[in-house]
Parts: sequence; structure tokens; C-alpha cells
Amino acid sequence: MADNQYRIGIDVGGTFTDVVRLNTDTGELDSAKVPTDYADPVAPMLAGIGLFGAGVSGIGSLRHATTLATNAVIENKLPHGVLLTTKGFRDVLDIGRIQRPEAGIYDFDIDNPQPLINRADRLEVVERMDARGDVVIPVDEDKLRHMLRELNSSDIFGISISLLFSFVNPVHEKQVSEVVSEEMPGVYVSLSSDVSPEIREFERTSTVVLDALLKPVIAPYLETLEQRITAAGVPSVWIMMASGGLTSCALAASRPVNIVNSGPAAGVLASANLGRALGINALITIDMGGTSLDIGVVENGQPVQKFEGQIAGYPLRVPMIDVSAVAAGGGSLALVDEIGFIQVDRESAGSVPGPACYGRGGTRPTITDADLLLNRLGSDLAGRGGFSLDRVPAAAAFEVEICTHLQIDVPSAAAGVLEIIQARMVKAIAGHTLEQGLDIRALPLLVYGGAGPTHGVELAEAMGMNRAIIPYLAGNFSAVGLMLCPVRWDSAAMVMRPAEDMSDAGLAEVLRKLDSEARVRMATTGDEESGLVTHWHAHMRYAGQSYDLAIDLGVPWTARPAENLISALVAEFHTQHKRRYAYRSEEETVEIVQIRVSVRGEEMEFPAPAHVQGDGAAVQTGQRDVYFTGVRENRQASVWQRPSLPGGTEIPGPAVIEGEGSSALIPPGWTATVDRFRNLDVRRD
Amino acid sequence: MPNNHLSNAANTDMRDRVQAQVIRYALELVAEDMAMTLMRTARSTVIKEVQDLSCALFDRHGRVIVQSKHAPMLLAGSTLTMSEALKHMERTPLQPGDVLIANDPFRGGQHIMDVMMISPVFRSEELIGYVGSVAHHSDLGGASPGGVAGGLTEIYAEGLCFPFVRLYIAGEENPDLFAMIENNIRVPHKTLGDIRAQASSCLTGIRRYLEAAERFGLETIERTTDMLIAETEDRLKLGLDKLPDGEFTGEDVVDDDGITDDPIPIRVKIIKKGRDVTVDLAGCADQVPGNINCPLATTLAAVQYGFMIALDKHVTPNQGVFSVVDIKTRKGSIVDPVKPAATAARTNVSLKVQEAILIALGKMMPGKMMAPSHAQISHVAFVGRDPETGRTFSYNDIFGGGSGGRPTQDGRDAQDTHMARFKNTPTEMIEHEYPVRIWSYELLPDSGGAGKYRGALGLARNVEVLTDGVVFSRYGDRQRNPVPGAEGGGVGQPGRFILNPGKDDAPLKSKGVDPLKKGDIVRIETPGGGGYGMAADRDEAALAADLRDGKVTEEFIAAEFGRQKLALVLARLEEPAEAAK
Repeated sequence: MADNQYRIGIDVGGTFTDVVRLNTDTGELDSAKVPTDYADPVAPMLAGIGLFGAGVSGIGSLRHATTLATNAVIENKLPHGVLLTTKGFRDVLDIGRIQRPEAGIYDFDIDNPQPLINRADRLEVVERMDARGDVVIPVDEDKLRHMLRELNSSDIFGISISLLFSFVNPVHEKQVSEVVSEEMPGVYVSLSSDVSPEIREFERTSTVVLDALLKPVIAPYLETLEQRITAAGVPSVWIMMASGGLTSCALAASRPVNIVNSGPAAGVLASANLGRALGINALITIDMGGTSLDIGVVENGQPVQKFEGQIAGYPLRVPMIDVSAVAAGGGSLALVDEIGFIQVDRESAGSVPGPACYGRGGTRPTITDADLLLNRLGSDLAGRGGFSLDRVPAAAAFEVEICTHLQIDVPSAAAGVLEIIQARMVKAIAGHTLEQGLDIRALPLLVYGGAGPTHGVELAEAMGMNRAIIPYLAGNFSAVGLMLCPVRWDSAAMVMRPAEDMSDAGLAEVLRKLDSEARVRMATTGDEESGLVTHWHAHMRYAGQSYDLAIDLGVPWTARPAENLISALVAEFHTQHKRRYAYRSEEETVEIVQIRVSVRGEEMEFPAPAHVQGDGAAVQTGQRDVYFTGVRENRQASVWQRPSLPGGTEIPGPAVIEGEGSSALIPPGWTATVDRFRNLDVRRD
Repeated sequence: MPNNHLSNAANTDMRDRVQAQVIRYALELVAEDMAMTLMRTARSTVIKEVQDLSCALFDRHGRVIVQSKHAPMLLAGSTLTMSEALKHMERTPLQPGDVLIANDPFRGGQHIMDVMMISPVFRSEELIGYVGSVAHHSDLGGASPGGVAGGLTEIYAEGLCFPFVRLYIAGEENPDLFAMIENNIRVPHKTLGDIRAQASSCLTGIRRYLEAAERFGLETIERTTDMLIAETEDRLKLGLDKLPDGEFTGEDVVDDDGITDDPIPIRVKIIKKGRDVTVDLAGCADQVPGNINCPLATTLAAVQYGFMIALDKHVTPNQGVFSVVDIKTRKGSIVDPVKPAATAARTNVSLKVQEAILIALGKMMPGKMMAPSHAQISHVAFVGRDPETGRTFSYNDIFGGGSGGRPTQDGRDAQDTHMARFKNTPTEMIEHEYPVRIWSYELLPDSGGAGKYRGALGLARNVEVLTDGVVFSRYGDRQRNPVPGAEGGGVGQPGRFILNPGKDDAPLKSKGVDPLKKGDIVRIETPGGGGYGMAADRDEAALAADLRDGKVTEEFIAAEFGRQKLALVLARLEEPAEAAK
């Protein structure tokens, strides 16, 4: 037995801390659920590990996805900070891109969020760089020093620096940063040329401001976390980033903007990984939890990435797995609106008080309540963290909020609510995949999250798909994904030149610089490990376009000189442009906008358990009347317990397969097969 | 299962309504798929990024069932164009696979650059509905690139004007028409790319519409259509029930048309009796020689937009929106112009119509409507020769201004407002592309009207041209007549264009064309929004925050709120805890 055959993955949610353990020797996965402790998030982690019985012995690494950064922004709990920016441009954060959010088109009270730094705290530096990176006006250091001395520095926790054209030439930002560290030693500082060296001043500034304001929140947390976990005997602790990679606590603390929105990333990465193991290169993923439905896409065996997202309305320019979230989950509230229509998209019960059936004070009907009332969920689900579901408050909630208004009975109301939420989810999933230009019906749907297994196959059915996969430990699948994630660090540089003006040697020089930048950064914090591979791609467009395409030749960069890279990039760009945008245009100039490098360790292969439990025959444990949305009526469904199902078991719908804290619904006309990874592979008959 | 007080009729009704919700989501997805196809396959930024487009599904009678909601300004176009299209089709019936193209401002169109396409949906031999889209195109020929130059006084100069003609015949391109278009525009490969993208979005729509009909059954969809239209009407009527009967007027004014200096009044009257509502626009000025005339479709959109945001923010914009309010205009007026009126810069009028409607609605719902907003678009263009490349460059930019204060909060500074939706161009992109230097891009202190809730600030950009022989053309508005306040709020500060601020400080006309030389700096200032409520009611902490942030000056507070208030605010800022917040 190896000394460190165990990997631990920890996903801290609003209600529960999920702890998953992987035995890398046997491929066995275990999971535990412990109530989250907001005051001391580390204690439940250690408690969860303790539940596996072996203590910390044999644990090689702990991987952790934290929502601390995301929540700090969403709940507006960021500390006081200052922005230093080019004279004449302190209002970039106010003005933004001018455009109001889409939700505000017919509602004049809905705005983009207010800037995270007050106008009075956005200070202008006398300096100017031009678009080529030539100095127009040098930094006025005296003025800057004077300005900094005027500040009450005991009250400032993070300083962000964002100067025009710093992505072309960062010397002014570096100079300003040096003055800051002389005048205000010890304060957290972030430079836009470091965090997001990209054109477009608003998005870049927004990103660097988030980074600087998150540092005082994240750094102390990660320091404590690492200290306590290593003191307990676990040799290494890794933190999940939105890009789908892991990094050390020290590096994460130095670039906290990278861990914003990291919650859904591991699940999509695990989906891509599982897909490859099953020989599937393209699929759609949905993670349905209590409050949101997270939708991801896997193409060419990899999660689709994007390089600009947002958090709470603030743009964020870092590499991230492309996940779109809609407010649809087990906790979505149903109500009857002013004119007698049922609506499900207006409010959520959240994790507090949660659905009425949780018996924790919720009095309004939710999706989970509807599932319970229609027997789609059993009331006694093992692994739900020790509480059972109560039909009485669920029925009362429907009675009061829906039935009395519409003069209908509880089952009809619950069925109506399910149909509407399903249509809403179908629209969201199909809408997201339309953006990618994919025909969804040809792809499988991978479903996870607490509520995913209950709704996933019916969603696939409604979207005209023919296959859904419900992975083993679907309720903890994101934590499972943490086991597989590679170490990673990214770097990027703007190029903004016609491809024809660039030589292979010039490109190689850019790649060499970016590669060494990333590796140096990883080495200083001990992130370096053997087997690092340098992935890279170019962002390209036809001259004059305002958007670009990420072109990846699929060949890692090595120090060996490569020829014909530019011509290969241009050819691939034309092809991809045709595929994505339906035309190619040989006569137009092709521009290389940006080069990105991603240095990554090895991604572990999806663990196949050495033997699938319970080699005997599968035993049906019961049957009950269950409502299915496809046939719009109750059917007598067989009931099974998932943990006891041997590999190869085939279960025809209508069926309910319970276990691991959720309940998988197999509609009539579909059959589930337990595969060698213990997934439920569900196909249309 | 418990079945205590089951009422069959109620359950059937509820099932129908649930079904209607499900079908609405599904049909919205069809419209979204059309929009996505268009955005994905088009070539110009205005379609791809600014999303100046709207896609719609119609039933067999030509009634709008659902629309994609990208651009409110284009919403009403679909009904009016459809009614004109139906007239055309009576004479010349369409075949499966035909795509009609139209952009005639005098036959249900917007302005020349907004091109509508309509295609019939046939299920085997039976016509079951239509799909359509309208999108802003960047080049349709005409006297100037982009179709926005001032000084043009006839529609003929503004670009190709399509009556209802077949762009596609039985699914194939109509080669004669394509050749005609190609021969009359500046950047054919781009525009034709956009035109094909729009046509292919119609074809996508047809396919998806038929799939939906297959999935839910045509009969069910048609029954649902009635319910969805009735739902929208019900929402709006319920909203109307909360408003008083009577006559309510609203007035706004356009500075001038760029040809003469005469102000152009926009007057609306809402006459409400029960659920019968008429909006009378006959009091608006006559059409003008300048290019700001507002075609009927845009006028209708402005009125309908006003009622939608006032009555119910959850409303689905379908045919129901168009049947609740009866809109009367006078042919030959600036809001219902006749040929050959020029219409390229119509937004300067349509946004004033929208403001006048909101002012009138505000009188009907005291305490619920926001104060008036800048209601203009400052469109500027710097055209010259790039000394480095030797090629002509054309730096175009559009600017919003301040929106009005709101019943419960200040206006959000420097954002787009109401029907006008657009994105700016980042300073770094501008300097990367063009021989200009931007010296500032900032909020204009004191430009928002005072009040309990402040009007949003306008913004300013200083642009230096780095080469000789540049021509600066623009149209702006609201430079003479400030934005009014509401419920006792103060006026916003008018916008202005200035040449060489701090040196010559020469004012430039709001609509005009001037030559610039190397080193000249143009300052573009846009108007601030109107204040909401009495200045005396403004929260002192909010005023202190504004002063601390430099959004207002001490002079402004002294003038608008009084010296006494200023002293209190200053005292408040002295407190260390307050200053630090």
C-alpha cells in the first residue's frame, strides 16, 4: 500500500460540507456530509475526514473548492480599497460599457452594480502611455507620493493599479507599485498588467479591483486552512480555480480573482474526463442544486473555456470553464401571479429556510416539495445529512400558496409547477448550447447535483436527447472532480498584429516568455511538479472584428523550434470560423489578437473501481406511484437502492433509483444500465 | 392521492395555463435561436455585439406571438411591417421558402438601416404562420457611410430602400436582387454576409417553428397563442385599472433639425376612460427637412414601450401590447412623416416621444415614474487619412447621457436609458485603431438635476486628433433645452460640443460638420438627467457622499440646496467615520 494513496476533495456548500475520498490504488470513492460551519469552515473538513475511519494516515493531498471569494463579492463583503489609474480615467468603473443589464430593459430600477471603489477612492496618476507602449507623459512620482501620504492608510486594505495600455508596456504600473510599497508597506497590491494583461480598460480594471479587494479576505483564510490541515498531518493542500486547474494556497492567495466562480468548474472538468473514459467527446452537463442550474459544454473531450465572465455583474477576465447559471433549483419557489399564472422564476427559498418539506421554517412551495408530493423523492433518503423530508408542510405550502388561488388539488398544482420549471430549464440549456452552435439532440446529457438525478433524464427527454448519464456520487460530483484536476497556471500576452506580419520565431519567443513566466510563478510557491505540459492557443479574428476565436492546434509547446505554426494557425482559424460562424473569408486579413499559455500537470484518469459492489443479483426494494412529466401522469415505478446495484444491471423505466442523498428517476421508455464506473447510463428505448 | 376539492373546470383551465407557459418558453426559444443564428453568422459589430435586432414569430393571421427582447426600439416594427406585408401578400401570395425584404420607413419600416425580413411557414400546403426579424445593417449605400451624416434632407440619399420584394424565392437566393444590392453598396462582402445571416435566421425559425408544431400540435399552439395574447392584454389592462381616467399631457422638445435652428415640440395626450386608452400625437410638429423625422413604427414603439414599463414589467411583448392602446398620429407630422422625409437620425425624436409619454404617464401614477432622461444619442464621426497607413479612417462613437432620478433611488450615472441600447468603444480600442488620443472619459460633476433623488450625471470625452485634415461630423441634441425634473426635481445640465477646451473654448453646433487640424481637441459633453422630488427632501448622507465623490460641488449644493444644507453636509464630512465610508 502506498503511503499516500488517498486523495481528499472538499466542497464547502451553503448547507453541507461534502468530503470525498478516493483510493488511487483501488479506484474506490467514499463520501461524507457534514453541516457547514460558517464561523470555522475548517472544523467540518477535519470532522468529515474523520468519518472515513482511517484518520489522516495515507492521505497524500487535499483539494478544496471554496465559495468564499464568490460569496464575498455577491454579498458585498469586500474591504475598503483604492484604485490608482491614469489621469482622466477614474470614472471608467462608473461608465463601464454603458449598456444596462438585459434584466433592466423593461424595469428601470435594475442597474449594473455600483463600482466596488468609491469615486473619492479612485486616484488619478499623472502619466500616459500610448497604444504602442511609448511613454507620452512619464509618471509624476512626487505627486503620487503626496497623494498616497494624504490617505489614511490604516483604513485601506487593498490597492489596485490599472493604467492605460499597461498590457503593452507595464513599466508605469510597476513604477507606481514600487512607490506604493515604499509609502504603504505591507498593503495588498494588484497590478492590471499582471492580473489581466488585456486590452479594454473597463474589463481589465474591474478584474484587478476584484483581485486587490479579495486578497485581504482570501489570504488569511487560506493561510489558516493550510496551517491547520498540514498540522493535522495532510502533506499538501490545493485550491480549485475557475479555469479547472488547481493551485497552491500561496499562489491562490496572491491571485484570488482566479478562484472566483470556481464552484462549478470541477464538475464540468470531471464530466469531460468521464466522457473521455466512456469514449464520448462532446456532451452537455447540468448541475442542479438547491438554488441554481449550472450548464456546461464539453467539446473535443475538454470543457469549453471562456476568458471573460462576470460575478454579480462585475466583469472578470480570467480563464474559466464556461458555465452558465440560471436560477432554477430544488429551492425555486412557485407562486401564482397577479393574473392567475403559476410562476417559478421569481424567487428562491435558498438554503435557509429551504423547501417547506425540510421542516426548517419554510412555508412556501418549492420544486423539491413538488417532487416529494408526487413521490419522485422518497421521504427517507439516506445520506441527506440526517434529516428526512416531511410531506405535511409541503402539502400545506401548496394548498395555501397555489391551490386556494386556482381552485385545484395539490397533485395537479405540483405537476404544473414541475412542467413549468422543466420548460424553463429546457430553454436555458438549449439557449446555452445554441451560443456554442451545437445540435443538442445528438449529444448525451450528464446530470449531477442534489436535484439533478430527479430531473435530468426527463430534461433529456424533453430536449429530444437520447441518452443521459447519472454519475456515481452524483450529489458530490464536483468534489469527485477535485480528485482529477491537474495543477495549472496561465499566462497571456496581447499581440494585436496581422498574422502575416508575424514570424514563427516571433511567436516562439512570445510562447517561451509566457511559458517561463508561468513556470517561475509555480516554482516560487512550490506548485512545480514533474510532468508539466505547456498548452497554448491564439485568439484570432478577421481585422475589424470586435470578437475573436480561440485557436488551439492541440500541440503542446516545447523549447524545440517549430515551423509553420503561423500558417497552421491561420488555416485552422478559417476552418473554425466557418464552423462557428458559417463563413470563411480568405481575402481578409487575419489578426492574432492574443496568445495564451496554460502550464498544466497531469489530469488523472477517471477512477474505475476494481470491483463493483454486490456482485449478486440486483434486488428491487419496492414500488410506488410516481408522477412523470413526459407522460404527464402517475406510473407504477419500481424502486431500487443504488449502492447495492451490481455492474451491468439493467433497470427499465418507470423506476426510481435511490441512494447517495438523491433519487434518480427513470421515465417510461428509458432504461438505465449500471456501467463499470457505477454510473447510471440511461438510454431511450 | 388526495383529491379533496377537485374542480374539473379549474383543473382544465390550470392545465391550459401551464401548457401556455410551456409553449411560451418553447416559442421564445425559437425566437432566441433565430437571434442567435443571426448574431453568430453576421459580420458587423452592430449585429454581433450591440445586438441591435429583434426576431419574432407570428401566427397565420400575422399576429405577434413572441419576440426576442434585444432592442425595444424595434419591437413595434414587427406588427406594423407585418400589416403592410399582409397587404402585399394579398396581391402577391408567397410560396414556401420565400423571404421578403423590406425597410421602407413609410410602409411600416424603421429607418433605412433597419432591415426587416419576413418568411411564411408552411406545413405541407398549409400556411400556419410567419417568422420575421429586423436588424440594423451598417452599409446600404446612400450618400454617406453608415447612413447617419447630417445635412441630408431626402430619404433617397440615405441608402437602398426595399419595398416588399423577394430576397429568396422558394429557398433560393434571388440573383437579380442580390446583384442589385451588391452594385449599390460600399462594403458588399460584409453587408451581403449580414443579409444572408438574417435570411438564414428566418430559415432556422421556420424549421424550429415546424418542430414546435409537431411536438405540441398545431391546434394546441394556436389555442395557446390566443391565451398568451390575452395574458399580455390582461396584464396591461390590470395595470390600466390602477390608473385614473382623464386626459393627461406630456411635452418634450427637440433642439432643432440641423438645417434650421427652430425648436421642434413633441406633444402627447393620453385620453383614458376605463380600459379604453387613446394616445393622441397630433400635436407634434410637422415633419422637418433635417434627417430626424421619426417613422410611424418607431413612434409606436416609443408609446408602447412607455406603457409596458409603466403597467407591468413582466409583460410578454406580443400582439397584446399593440391592441391595448389606440395611437393616433397626424400624417405629415414629425412622428408620422411622409415621403421623402429623411429619417436616419430618428432616435432624437423617438426618444423625445418616449419621454413625453412617460411624463404623461407620470401624471397618472404619481410617485411611480422616473424623472425624464437625456433622450438623445450623440453620434460623432472623425474621418480622415491615417498618416501611417495612408488609408481613410472613420472613428465613429455614440454617447448616452444621464437618466432621470427614480422614485426610490438616484439615476445610475452615464448608462444607456429606456429604448436606446448600445455599448461604447473602449479608449484603448479607439487609440489602437485610429490616429486620435483620448485625454479623458469621465462623469460631468453637477450635470444631474437636483432632487430627493439626483438625476444621473452625463459624461465627457476629450478627443485629440493626431493628424491634419480630419472632418468632425456629428448629431447631438438636448444642448439648448435641458432635461426637466419630476415631482419638483431640478433640471439636468444640457450637453455641448467644444473645440479646444481651456484654450479656444469654441462652442460647436449640435448637428454639423467641421474640419479639424492636428492637435485640435474636441470635448463631447452629454446632458445630465432630471432630478426626482424636492431637493429639500434629499438625504444628507447621500449629498455628503456625492460631495465626497466629487459628483457635485459645494457651489452646486449651495445653489440647489442652500447654504445651510451645505454647512450641515460639510460638518458631516468632517466626522472621520463618515469621511472614510
